[in-house]
Amino acid sequence: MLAVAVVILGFILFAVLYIIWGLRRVIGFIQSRIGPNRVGPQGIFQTIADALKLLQKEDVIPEGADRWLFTIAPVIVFVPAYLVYVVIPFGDGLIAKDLNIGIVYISAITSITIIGIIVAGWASNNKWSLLGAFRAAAQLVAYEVPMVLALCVPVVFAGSLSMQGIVQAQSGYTWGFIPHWFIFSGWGIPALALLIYLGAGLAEINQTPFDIMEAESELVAGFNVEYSGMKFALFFLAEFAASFTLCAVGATLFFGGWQPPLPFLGGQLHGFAFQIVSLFWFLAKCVVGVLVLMWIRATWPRVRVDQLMDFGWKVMIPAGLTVLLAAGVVVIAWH
Amino acid sequence: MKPQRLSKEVIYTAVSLVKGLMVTFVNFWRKKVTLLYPEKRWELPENYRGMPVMPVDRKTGKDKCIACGACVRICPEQIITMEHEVGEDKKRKLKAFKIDMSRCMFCGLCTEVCPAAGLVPSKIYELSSTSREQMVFDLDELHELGGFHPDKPEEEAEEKQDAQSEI
Repeated sequence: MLAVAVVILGFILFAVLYIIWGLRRVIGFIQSRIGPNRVGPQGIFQTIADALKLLQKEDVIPEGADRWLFTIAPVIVFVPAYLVYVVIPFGDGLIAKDLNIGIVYISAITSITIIGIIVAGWASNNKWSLLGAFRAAAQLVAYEVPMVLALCVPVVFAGSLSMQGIVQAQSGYTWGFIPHWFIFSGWGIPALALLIYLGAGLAEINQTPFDIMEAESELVAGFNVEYSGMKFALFFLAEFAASFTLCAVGATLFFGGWQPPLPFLGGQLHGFAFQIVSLFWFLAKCVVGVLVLMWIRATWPRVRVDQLMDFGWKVMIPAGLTVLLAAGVVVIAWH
Repeated sequence: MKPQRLSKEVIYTAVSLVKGLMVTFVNFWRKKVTLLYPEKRWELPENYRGMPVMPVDRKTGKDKCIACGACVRICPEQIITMEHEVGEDKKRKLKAFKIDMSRCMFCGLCTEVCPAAGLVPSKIYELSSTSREQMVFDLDELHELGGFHPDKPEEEAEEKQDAQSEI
């Protein structure tokens, strides 16, 4: 079990390093720049160099800070982001633990992050970080609800809370080439759920349209203003690990997880070979998702605080409830 | 808000978000404007006004300076120093000439005011050095950086004069 934990940790570190590099390159390209391209071929070692620099930096603890809480907050933020990977189905049989309540586990574990953020904002003894933490708490609580409602839609269609069970429910092809992924089925209800999931997910990982908790122009950097060195790196790591998680869960619930998109692209294989192919398809779907997130990040402007709360409570939650109701109706009428 | 206006606004918002995504998507594939500077360089235009230099004449091997001192007087930073002597034919001759490029602001007034096309702008713009002394360029260095005089300004001036006289 320890080996699995180490592999997952290594995967998170690797993925985050290259998500950050890719983010800087993609946003650079969108802004007609080149982005980091000096360290290694095409700059692929840039983030490693940055991480080494962060490791060497002085670990500053502000004078008025609550030392104990200040130190433990990055850990509280990072550990949930790490624990979620226990139930991510990387491939056929490639899952650390196929819990029969996988979805519930994910939404429960990711909520713990809020506690770490509030602790960090409070312990820093800085008004900007405290304001950032308040905003984060309000935002994450508001968007947790539509997120869970959107997650429920594939569960209703699959009839299972386990991640592998949901992937299995999406196997098979209509007329031999349209995969039975939820995004293509159920009269478009799961597609609507995906939109809600994406919107709420962007708020959950504090991404651009909803990144008011670290709005640079208003709050300097939000709850992590006072953090430096390795503690800051842990926050950074957790944030990007969460953005990969968002894509991984989205791919699992709506895009058939590790199911190949066409039957001849690996569907005929068995055993170990199929495991490799399924891992490839899962990661490919995640990479596409991460690229879409970067695309959104480089395009859309930030919303105002009141607009964010308005949108969360008055639009997202009613829409989530409606979609969930529609999903139930479709499932009862159809199956 | 009336429901009709609200629905219009919602549709407008959704459409504009997608439009924004399309703009950035197109931009992603565009040619990048960044120039990888030390490896690649700009193509400078012909009339680029860089560091002032003193080219020498191809035939005589001398510069065209008449030691009038106009450049010394006009320089806003007062970085040009000049010494002259009066020769036997009662013409002023240049003895020493120095430009402290560390304070030059590349206004080009010295080259504009020069009546003899002795001091001309070059395409040199990379002038970093490790000491202040290296930034002071004397006559020999200005000759070396200037190379041979292209002799174009004079011809052009003559042509201009011809054109004006014709008018």
